[in-house]
Amino acid sequence: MKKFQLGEFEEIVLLTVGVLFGEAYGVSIKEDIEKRLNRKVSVGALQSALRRMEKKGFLVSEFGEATSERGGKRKRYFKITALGKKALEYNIQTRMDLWKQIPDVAFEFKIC
Amino acid sequence: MLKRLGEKLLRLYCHPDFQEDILGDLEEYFRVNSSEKGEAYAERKFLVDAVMLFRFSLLRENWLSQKLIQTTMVKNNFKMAYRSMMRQKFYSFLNLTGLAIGMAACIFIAIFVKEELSFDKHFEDSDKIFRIAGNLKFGDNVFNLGFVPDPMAKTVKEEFPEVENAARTRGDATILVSYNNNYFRQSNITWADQEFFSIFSIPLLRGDRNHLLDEPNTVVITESTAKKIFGSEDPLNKVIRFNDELDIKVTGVIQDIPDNTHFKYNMFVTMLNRADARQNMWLSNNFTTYVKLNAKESKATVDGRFPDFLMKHFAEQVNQMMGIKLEDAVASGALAATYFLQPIEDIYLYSNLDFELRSGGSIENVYIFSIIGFFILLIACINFMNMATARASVRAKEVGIRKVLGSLKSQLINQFLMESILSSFIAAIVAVIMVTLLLPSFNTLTDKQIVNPIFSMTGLWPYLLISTIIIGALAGIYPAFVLSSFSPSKVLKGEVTQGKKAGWMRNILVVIQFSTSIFLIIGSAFIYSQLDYLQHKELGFNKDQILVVNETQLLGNQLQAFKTELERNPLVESVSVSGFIPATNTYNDSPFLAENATSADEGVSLQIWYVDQDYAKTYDLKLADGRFFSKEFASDSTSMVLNETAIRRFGYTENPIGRRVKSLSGNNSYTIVGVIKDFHFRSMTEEIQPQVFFLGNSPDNLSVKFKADMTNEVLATTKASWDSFSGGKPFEYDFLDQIFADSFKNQIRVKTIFSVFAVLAISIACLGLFGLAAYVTEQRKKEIGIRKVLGASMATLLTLLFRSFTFLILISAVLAIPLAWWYMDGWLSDFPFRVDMNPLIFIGSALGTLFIALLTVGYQSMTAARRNPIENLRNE
Repeated sequence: MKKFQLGEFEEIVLLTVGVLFGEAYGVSIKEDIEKRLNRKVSVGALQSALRRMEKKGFLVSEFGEATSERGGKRKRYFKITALGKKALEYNIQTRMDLWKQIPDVAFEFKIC
Repeated sequence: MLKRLGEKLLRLYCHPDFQEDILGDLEEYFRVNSSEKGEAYAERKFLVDAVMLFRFSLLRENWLSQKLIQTTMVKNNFKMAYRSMMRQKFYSFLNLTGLAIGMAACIFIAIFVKEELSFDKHFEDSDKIFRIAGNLKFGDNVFNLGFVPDPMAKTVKEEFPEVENAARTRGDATILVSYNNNYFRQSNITWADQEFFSIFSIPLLRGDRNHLLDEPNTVVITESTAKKIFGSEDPLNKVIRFNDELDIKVTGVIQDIPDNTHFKYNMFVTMLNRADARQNMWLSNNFTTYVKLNAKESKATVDGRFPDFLMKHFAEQVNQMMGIKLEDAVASGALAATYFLQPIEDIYLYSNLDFELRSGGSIENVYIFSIIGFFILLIACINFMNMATARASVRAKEVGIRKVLGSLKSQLINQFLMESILSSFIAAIVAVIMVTLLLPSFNTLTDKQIVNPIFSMTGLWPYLLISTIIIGALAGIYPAFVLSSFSPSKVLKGEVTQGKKAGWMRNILVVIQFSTSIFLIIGSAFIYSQLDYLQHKELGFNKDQILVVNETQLLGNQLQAFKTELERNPLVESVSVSGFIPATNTYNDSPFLAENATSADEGVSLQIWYVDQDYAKTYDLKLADGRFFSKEFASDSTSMVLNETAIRRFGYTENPIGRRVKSLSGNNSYTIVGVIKDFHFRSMTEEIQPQVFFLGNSPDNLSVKFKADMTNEVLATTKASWDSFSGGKPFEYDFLDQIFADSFKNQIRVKTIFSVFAVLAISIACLGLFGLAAYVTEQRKKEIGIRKVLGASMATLLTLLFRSFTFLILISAVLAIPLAWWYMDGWLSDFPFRVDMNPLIFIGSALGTLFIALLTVGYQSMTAARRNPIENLRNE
């Protein structure tokens, strides 16, 4: 199903937005991914993934409060939509299906 | 600055709905980064992120297509710029080459200056770390030392509340180190206190920072030394052997000390191994002492505490050792000691004490190179302006047509500015390529290890980007205004004449170019002649055909047998055992008194060299009076040989032989048996100091004087006999003439840098002059045609064309010569032995520049003067 297509990075971002429910904005999402997955996230990649998924309807966003350490600029908080949840479920389901289909023989690693 | 640029950039392309929260995010990252990694890093990161946010999904709606419509004009401008460059390929080439070379030179200077300014700033709290230094005066002997007495560190830590920690180092030795019977000649070995590694945050790879050097026979080594000695083995707790006698345990491995540090050590042996480190001697200054203060502002307080501190701790020993009261000696001016703190960040560039650990850095060099860089860039920019106006007549019709078709003046200015910024970008790209290609040679020349100076996170790229735009704009603004102000009716009729004003401006620009070039040429000529003078000055000893064998103390009591065997070799003229080798900057001094001296402050500080009987013969030292040590005199153990300077300082000019000199305590007394002629036993850049030879055992080196042209044979036979005595220890040697040549490394470096820049300056200036000559001859084309028709000869025409340039260069010379005189006078005054200020060099440099300039103009002038007048006068 083309409409639920998620890239690997998009999937991680979407999951993290879910994890950080209510607190998910650019900086916190980036920090969380960097901490949990131990990988570097570039601001550009993150922001473009967020906007792309918002356009697809997996995410919605609203402005939050303005704070002084942000130079008076507001935060944009993201939330998963029902469609976003479906996309995630679809993705996880297809992976599990694939995983289950692997024959046991494929995992018998022997030193020949 | 970079942050604002980034914000502007983002606002330019980013969708307005997204701008607020993305900028807010970036602001948050900026705060975090600037508190964790510093403001500069955060600014760069901001800009990098802003650039990397240029993604399709974040752009303004229809941004690209809208921009395309707006950019039609811009595209046209680019096209015109490209076409005008292509139409006159040769000029464009000259123009871009000049600018690219200028930029490359500037980038190199920026790299150099940045590196010089970064010294010792990489340590944590580097602004709170200081070295204690002292100005000591003792009779006529003055010392400015970065060394202080051994109890100083301990005592200041106890008594000064501002001092948080103190540590000492001593020595910079080369020792034969062995592990598993593999021998390494290890240099840069020092002795250090445990606290050293608490003060200096050198990253520790193995070991416990709190217990590195707190036991005897321990050593901390650098990573690369560990790799050299142990290969892939874990060095921790392994035992290495020093000079085949002392076992020392490795207790830590540190990262290699960065090159931009004022000390360069590879091994730190614990100070507990030095007996002299705890003898509580306030009167000998031997220990480099670092302190860490609670705040950098406490420096003044600590400096202010030293005078009382001095009275309290020094008085007793001064009284004991010298038999005088410290107060009296200070009051009479016979003795003076001022201790003070030097910020470590300033040591490399500002400190110029005797026996400095690492020489080479000087703030004057940083200033002079920055100024040279600025001027070279200026010369290149001036070229750009002059060439652009020189080609004005070519572009004039284009401007006329554009104006007739409704172009505004501002649009024309935009067009020309864009052209010059475009050229400056092309030049910048070429410059970066040049820098990348030449970086290895630059590193060799400046003795630095710089990698990727431009495109790393802390590199120069943001400055390069901004300067490229500024250079393009600055170089383009004047031609842009000149070109855009042409009146269309006049230019279309073919009357392109420039007012006197523009010519005046150009003349000033040319004078600036040539004064700078002449200054640099005079500078390199002087540095060259001074170095030549030093390298060929009569040394007073023979440096050729001398082989110096190192580490001969390893032979122990076999050393004499080794010497005897070498002496039997017919190729060998003479052999001497002594660790004191001329031109190697060995320091070992102590004060002595004339026989009738009554007070310690009449002491003369002598460089003490221990030598054997064959020393004078081996090094060809000339005797002024008396004799050298000889085996025939058993009494020679209490004899001394002085140099002429020492004799003068003792006041023994009449009949020195047989007179006596006593040690400071008066317990020992020596008879003068000979006077040696002064020779340059240390660097040629220093005054010859009073020196004394004693007959003594100094087994570190053995010098072999051999017959000419037998170098390889001598080396082979010496090595063969070494192997027969040494039992497998490595044979290490140097040739004295090589040691001597190496001692000029710093001066040769300055010379090369200066000449490179002088050549660059004059070539860029000549590129410009070439363009300018083209302009002038173009302007006077008709005049030349008419003169020729009326019968002017070739010579008359050439004189006419040369006259104005000659005048400009003479003015440049008048400006440059006094400046160069002043600067070179200052530079030369650092050398006790120096060449005279030869006026011929000044005149020669000016004439040389004139010659090169006329040669450049000559081509243009010759073609103009030889051209058929018809071609010049015809106007289609």
